[in-house]
Amino acid sequence: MKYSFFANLLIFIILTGCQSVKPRNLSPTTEPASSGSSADAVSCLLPTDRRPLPAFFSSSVFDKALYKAVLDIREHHITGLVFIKNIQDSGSRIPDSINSYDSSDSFHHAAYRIVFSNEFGMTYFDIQVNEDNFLLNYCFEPLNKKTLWKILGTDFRLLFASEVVSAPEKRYIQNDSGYLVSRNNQGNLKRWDLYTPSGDTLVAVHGKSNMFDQTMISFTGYQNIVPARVVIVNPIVNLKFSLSLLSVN
Amino acid sequence: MPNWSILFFLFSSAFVLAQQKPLDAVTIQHIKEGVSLASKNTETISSNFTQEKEMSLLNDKVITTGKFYFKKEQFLRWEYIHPFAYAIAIRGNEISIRDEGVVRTFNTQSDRIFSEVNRIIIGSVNGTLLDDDSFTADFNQSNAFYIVALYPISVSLRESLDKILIYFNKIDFTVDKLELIEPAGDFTRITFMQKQLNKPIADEVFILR
Repeated sequence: MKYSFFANLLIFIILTGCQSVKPRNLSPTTEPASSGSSADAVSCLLPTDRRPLPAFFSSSVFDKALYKAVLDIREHHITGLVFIKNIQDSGSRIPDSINSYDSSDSFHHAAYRIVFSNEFGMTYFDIQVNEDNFLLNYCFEPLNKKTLWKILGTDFRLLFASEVVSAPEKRYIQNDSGYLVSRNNQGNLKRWDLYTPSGDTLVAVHGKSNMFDQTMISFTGYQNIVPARVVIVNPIVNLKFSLSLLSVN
Repeated sequence: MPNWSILFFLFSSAFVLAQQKPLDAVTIQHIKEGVSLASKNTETISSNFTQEKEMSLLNDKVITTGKFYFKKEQFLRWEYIHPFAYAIAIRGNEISIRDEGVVRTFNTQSDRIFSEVNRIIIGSVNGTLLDDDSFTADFNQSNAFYIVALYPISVSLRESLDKILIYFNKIDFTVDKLELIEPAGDFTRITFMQKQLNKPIADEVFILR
């Protein structure tokens, strides 16, 4: 009898863990055809040349941006500013001695520097990231948890992938929303990019490397080509990181 | 503060690091007594402020501006106006925060971090941080300022704060500038401008709605 509680807990964890970030109701896209059937009417909305779809943070989008930020982790509520700077062209080399949760030793150049500080300017964390790796330069001690950074690392790698991503890409239509879904592998991450039916606006990125770091990122309120609001959600660990655009250059 | 003082302050602050001089015991005592007297004679402060967050490795800074109100003994309102709206009001042991139109209220005693923030902010403004056992103090001066460097003793605070530099105006011993220096070299400079002393401030100013 005493095992029943643990059995139920295990079942709960398994069921919760099986909650997938893979978008539902996907149908493979078909190549455009010359006939006028209803199925072809949908596929004609898709890019016909299989050109690369736009990423959120492509290197040409901006040099730096400032977002108002709210990080909720379970009962903890942290607010402040997130400063993002494109440092891809600076060739800044990361010293070997800097703390890193990255499992690879091959990370020497970062595409973006992200500094999250409170309203008074005190730094919560300072990281460098590109699509393959991320590196923690500094972290406020209460947030300096390896498990947390395994998850945030996945979040930021998905967010700051400047080129999506590796072959073989698969494309789908989400039946209920009409979104174009691009399925890729990004290193050890499985990744789904959801675009408007025309394929020109990224509305969400879903991804994971395991059941614990499942991530859903949504983009809304685009100002030109920069989203005014970005919301990162990790449903398994009950983490939500909301960014509201203040300025961009 | 008259305009000429602002110009003088801006001009002199550019050279402040190069002109700092260590002080003798008599001058240190003069500073402590001046700050204590200014604190005793100051019932209210209202001021605009500019906050610059400098990120050393990025060679970049984030600039925010806002308004600041202080009323003896423990009333403080710290409000950011640009580029975002955010306000903190402290009334004794109670802190209210208004963020994106939503007001939340805490008891500072129930939250160690807010309690510490409360102590540091109010202590910096009214000068009581100079006698705080949680910091060791180092005194310097430039042409325009007495500069007190406060080094946190607690290991946990030292992990996020290397030191606080408080710039006291040599004329009236009020705080013209604060610098919060982090271990990695990033720092935040808060400069108070258009400071008004002992101008009546209603209690309602410290209530966020």
